[in-house]
Amino acid sequence: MIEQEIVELIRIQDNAGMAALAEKYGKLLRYIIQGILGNRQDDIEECVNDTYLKIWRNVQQFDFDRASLATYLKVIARNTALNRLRDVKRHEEHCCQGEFSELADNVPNLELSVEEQIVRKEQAARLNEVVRTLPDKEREIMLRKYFYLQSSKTIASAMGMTVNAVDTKLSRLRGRIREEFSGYGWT
Amino acid sequence: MTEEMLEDLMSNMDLDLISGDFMEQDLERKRAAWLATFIREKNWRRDAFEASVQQQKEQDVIQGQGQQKGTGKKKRRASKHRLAISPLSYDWGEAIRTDLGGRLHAGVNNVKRKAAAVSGFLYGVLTMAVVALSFLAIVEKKRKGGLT
Repeated sequence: MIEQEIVELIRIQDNAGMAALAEKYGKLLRYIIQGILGNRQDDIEECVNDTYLKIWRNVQQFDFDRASLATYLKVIARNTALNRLRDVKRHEEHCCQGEFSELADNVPNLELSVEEQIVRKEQAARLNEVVRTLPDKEREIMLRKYFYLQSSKTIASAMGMTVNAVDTKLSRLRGRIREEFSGYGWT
Repeated sequence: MTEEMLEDLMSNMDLDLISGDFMEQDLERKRAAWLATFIREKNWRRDAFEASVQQQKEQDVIQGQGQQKGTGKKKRRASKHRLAISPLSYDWGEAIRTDLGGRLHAGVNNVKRKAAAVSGFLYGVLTMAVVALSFLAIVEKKRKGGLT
């Protein structure tokens, strides 16, 4: 089944669409999510299901002329897995502290103020520009590292490079981004 | 700037920057590698199984002949674990291959060392011969009074 047919089926809330989606993209989603969450099998399964659910609920909002279904799936899977990873880490840190009464005080406030949101939007736009100007290979390394959260070893193996070469490139890229963002007080 | 900040900002990447298919290519590569391993493993297992079946047949034939001659030996039951202990398994093959490789390497090195020693000796003999002949030629010429 081609992508367009899957989208049409999901738009009319037909379960066959989700079945076809899972068959066609299930492995890709699992690969992306596993790269971020590691070997937490239960969390991986939950994230995959959350990704399907988000597609099911928000399919009407997606503009498939702008990007393909696969691209939307990658972004949703990545962000869902990243949120899950942070939740798990936060949970582990708080469990170690033991005192439940202190939990409420220690949970950071993740809501951003309006001003912070505007600054964040500017920074994201700036980062987009920087990434857009990178050569293809460096852009791929950047995306693999900071979008898909792959390790240097995985990147090196996938791109036929040495781990040292990947680390050197990443270090240079970080330096360049630091320069670009020096105006925001990032050092 | 922390890595976490970068990861956060990456959440808002433009979709066209994410549209590359290198993750799909990764999966395809993994699939191809898995398939190659699977086929290799399957062939090894099949070869080992066929060899063990052949061996069993030969044993049965030999034992059948023995019984016909009245040796009184009982027919042995076929082992259920032939594949696991078969010397034709992959591990055995690897062991033999690496052992043979090691021996060949050592042998070649040995021959090289000997060849170097022999050629050194021959060069030495040749040099000594040239020196001796030159000396004899000079002595002979001196004796005839050619040299003063």
